[in-house]
Amino acid sequence: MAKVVVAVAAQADLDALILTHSLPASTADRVRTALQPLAIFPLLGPALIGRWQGFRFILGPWPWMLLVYVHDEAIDQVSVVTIQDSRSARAAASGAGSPRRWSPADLGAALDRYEHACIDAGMRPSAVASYVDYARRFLRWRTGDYRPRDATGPARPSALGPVTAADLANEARAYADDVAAAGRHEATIDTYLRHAMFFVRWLDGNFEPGGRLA
Amino acid sequence: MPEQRSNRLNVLLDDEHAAKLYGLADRTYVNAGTLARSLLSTALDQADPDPASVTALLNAIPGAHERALQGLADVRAGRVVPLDEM
Repeated sequence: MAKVVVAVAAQADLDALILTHSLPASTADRVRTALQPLAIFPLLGPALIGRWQGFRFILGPWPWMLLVYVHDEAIDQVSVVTIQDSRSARAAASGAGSPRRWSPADLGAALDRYEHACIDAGMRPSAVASYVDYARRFLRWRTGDYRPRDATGPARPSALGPVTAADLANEARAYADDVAAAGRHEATIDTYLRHAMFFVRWLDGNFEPGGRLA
Repeated sequence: MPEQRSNRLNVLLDDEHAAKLYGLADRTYVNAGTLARSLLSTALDQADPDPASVTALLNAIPGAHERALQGLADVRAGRVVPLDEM
């Protein structure tokens, strides 16, 4: 039987999906169940092509969840390298050319529109304030204007260049790490990351404030 | 000459899945064999999505390829979690 392992990056992908998509507590178990057949049939997943050559995939417990893996025949090991939401492709696939890039000024203006979107969705004022404040805190962190109290790591260089939604998603993970390093409780870290990702997903057209979380 | 394969298969279920199949068959008033054939066909369709389409999907997900490369680097550096510790 092949040994099945999950790369730390893939585990982080799954953790982020659980948070941003409000997936059930049983998600890790379900993913584990979906991966178990690979121990017996490591080549079960179809081989990807193009720049993905060498990678294979299977569907997760939900058809939108793509579990991308590699099989090392020499040591008979299946390694899951990333876990992705196939629906995230919609906005990028439907857009023309390269993905949109956002400068800090664009993001500031977008935050105002985000607040209006929250209000228009009929959210309670306290919820609107919460959504907007957490998103603003993330944006201020990435430009060096905010650090969590008791942060221990080196100050982050401010990010002033234009970035894509994917760049922002990666920065949100680093932000959560910074919050964690400041000694916050797990639930607090989750709240910071979840709300930062709500805003990033909204920018990318994959999230509607006040709507059901997929 | 291509190998001739029969469409008839013998499948042995473990106790748990056999009980589940008969429970479903009883509930839906369908013969267990007919239900098993339908469920297996659905599972096979889901198990074999088109790799070209999925490649295109993955290419359209911002940052997905970079995440896969990061995951690969993690694997090569031994930064992995065993499946049962996920």
